[in-house]
Amino acid sequence: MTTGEPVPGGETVIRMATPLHFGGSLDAAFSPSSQDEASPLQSVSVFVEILTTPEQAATFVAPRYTLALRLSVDAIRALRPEPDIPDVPRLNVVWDVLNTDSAPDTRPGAAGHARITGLVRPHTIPRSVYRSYRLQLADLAQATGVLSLPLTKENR
Amino acid sequence: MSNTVTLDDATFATLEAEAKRVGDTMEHYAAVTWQRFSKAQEIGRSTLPAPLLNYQHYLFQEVAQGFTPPDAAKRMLQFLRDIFIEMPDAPTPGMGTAERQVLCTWDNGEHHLEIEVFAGGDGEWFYMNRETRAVWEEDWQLGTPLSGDAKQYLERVRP
Repeated sequence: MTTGEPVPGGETVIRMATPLHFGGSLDAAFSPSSQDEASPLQSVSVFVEILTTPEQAATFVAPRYTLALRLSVDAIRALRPEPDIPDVPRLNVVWDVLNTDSAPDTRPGAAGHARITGLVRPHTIPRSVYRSYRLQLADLAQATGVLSLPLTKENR
Repeated sequence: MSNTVTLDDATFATLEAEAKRVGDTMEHYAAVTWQRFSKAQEIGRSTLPAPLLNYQHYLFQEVAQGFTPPDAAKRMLQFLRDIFIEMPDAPTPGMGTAERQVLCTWDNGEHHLEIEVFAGGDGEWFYMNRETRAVWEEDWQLGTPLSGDAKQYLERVRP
């Protein structure tokens, strides 16, 4: 697999998120960070479940990210925003090979790293388009099942 | 407020361990932590209606730990205060923070409403009906009245 190559259909990806406060939905988990926006793929980080366990995924993010959100790659690709503007591309899930010092990252679970592309809003497109994508991703994750990882000494 | 503080051994050890974990020097980490704490204290001093005190406490913690911008947190508390002044029985939202913003969400079946606030920005309302896929969005400037549309959507998400 190479960076940018689509993840095969039928797979499930994990997005790590912080716990919810006062209930509510998981939208914030799909908001691209400034680092995501600056990344070559302009995308949010996920892990392909067949290659990375939720526990392994947790080792790649800050300790406060203890929720593992599971989403079907096919369901992600099937989403359309609201309003459905034809110029807005579908979301996609592509591999993103992790490297450390120009060599492949050999940490357990690193091989599963991928990204959801299409979540960074160009300024010409209404915000609601991307908020509707974000909400639909949150709903997909909620429907598939959210795993809550045990708190460790670091994230307590 | 004084800008010096005496740390007990346990607090010093915690700061030292955290500085080491994030690869920072103890001196710089302590200075940044103190700045965050000072900013968070501004949030802690806001006067808010009773339903919002837990949100204030949560945002205090988030800002103090550097997880979200103090200005976004402060603005969100001001927007929530204005909602509860105009609608004292308004439904209470869920809340999430991110690196650049604070997000409040209300969900009631097919109805989803959110207000998102970035540092220095307006409150950005967004509503989506999960069944009809109808959407609505509006910007809300701090210090201006809650719009009729926003009130109507807040009613829709009332449990």
